[in-house]
Amino acid sequence: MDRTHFQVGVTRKTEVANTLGLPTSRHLDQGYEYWDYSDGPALSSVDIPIATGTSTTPVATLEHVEVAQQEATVLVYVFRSDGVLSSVRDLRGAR
Amino acid sequence: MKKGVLLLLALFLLVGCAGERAPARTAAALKGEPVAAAFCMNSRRIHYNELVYKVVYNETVTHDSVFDGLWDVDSELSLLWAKLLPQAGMHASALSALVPSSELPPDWCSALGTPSEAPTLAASIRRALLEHQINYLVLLRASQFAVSSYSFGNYSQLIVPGDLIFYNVRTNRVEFSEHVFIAGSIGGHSPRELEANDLALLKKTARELISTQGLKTLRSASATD
Repeated sequence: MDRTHFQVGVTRKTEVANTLGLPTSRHLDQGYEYWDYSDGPALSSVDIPIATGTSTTPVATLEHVEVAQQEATVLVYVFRSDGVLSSVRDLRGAR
Repeated sequence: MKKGVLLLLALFLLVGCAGERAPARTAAALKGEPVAAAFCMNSRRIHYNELVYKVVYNETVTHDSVFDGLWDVDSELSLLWAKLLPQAGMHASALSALVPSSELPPDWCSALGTPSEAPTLAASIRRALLEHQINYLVLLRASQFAVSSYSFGNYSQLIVPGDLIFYNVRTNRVEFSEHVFIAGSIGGHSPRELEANDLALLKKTARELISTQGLKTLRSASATD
């Protein structure tokens, strides 16, 4: 298994992006850039086949159910204005 | 299920082919005088949408990624768009070559409305273009990138939904706008690969789609015969 070590004060944004992928959201605050990473894709909807009709003429219809689950932020990478990693916040323990 | 994918692809193809045409006067003007060309994206985001086959039911899962600050998509694809316009019979300069980036308001692109709405091109852009004797802006405006995947066929496509806009700078009005839906396969790669190597696959696929389907839509919209 490959391992990548991110180092505060050294690692740059592009290295984080190329390793983890792009952040789910991003914002700037007081000279720092915050990258939020989520715990994975969110369930948006489910299509379930429902058997209707009679035993001699069964009919299957597809029922669409909206779920609209939201992605939850689990990691926050904070970068200085020069693009170098400043800190990492792991929110998984707080959930 | 595969029939569904094929039907979807056919629909995308039909949507791509069913282009509208700009008024003849507009089309003639675009080919008779220098124009400005620009690409812009309202939200620098990739919206992923995957249909996951679960045998007895299907799930749709979604995820969003942002690339703001990592790729100046507007500048890069504006230069490409300007280079493509001669293939549609237009002599174009990229907007970035005519208007300093410092004079481009952040929301100038999303603020442009439809032909029926009030003029909305930022005054600084309008002034700069008129100083260069440019009367038209040919704009390809995307809302964001979207990626649709289907787990049962291992098929993924990149989608660039947006609008093609012909803006008359002198009268300060949109003379023509058409919804565009540019879409194409990412060539057997997984969606995850779009973000690797400084977004190399995303950039390559976006350039290819605009060079083919974007140009085709422009040719159709600006046809004069």
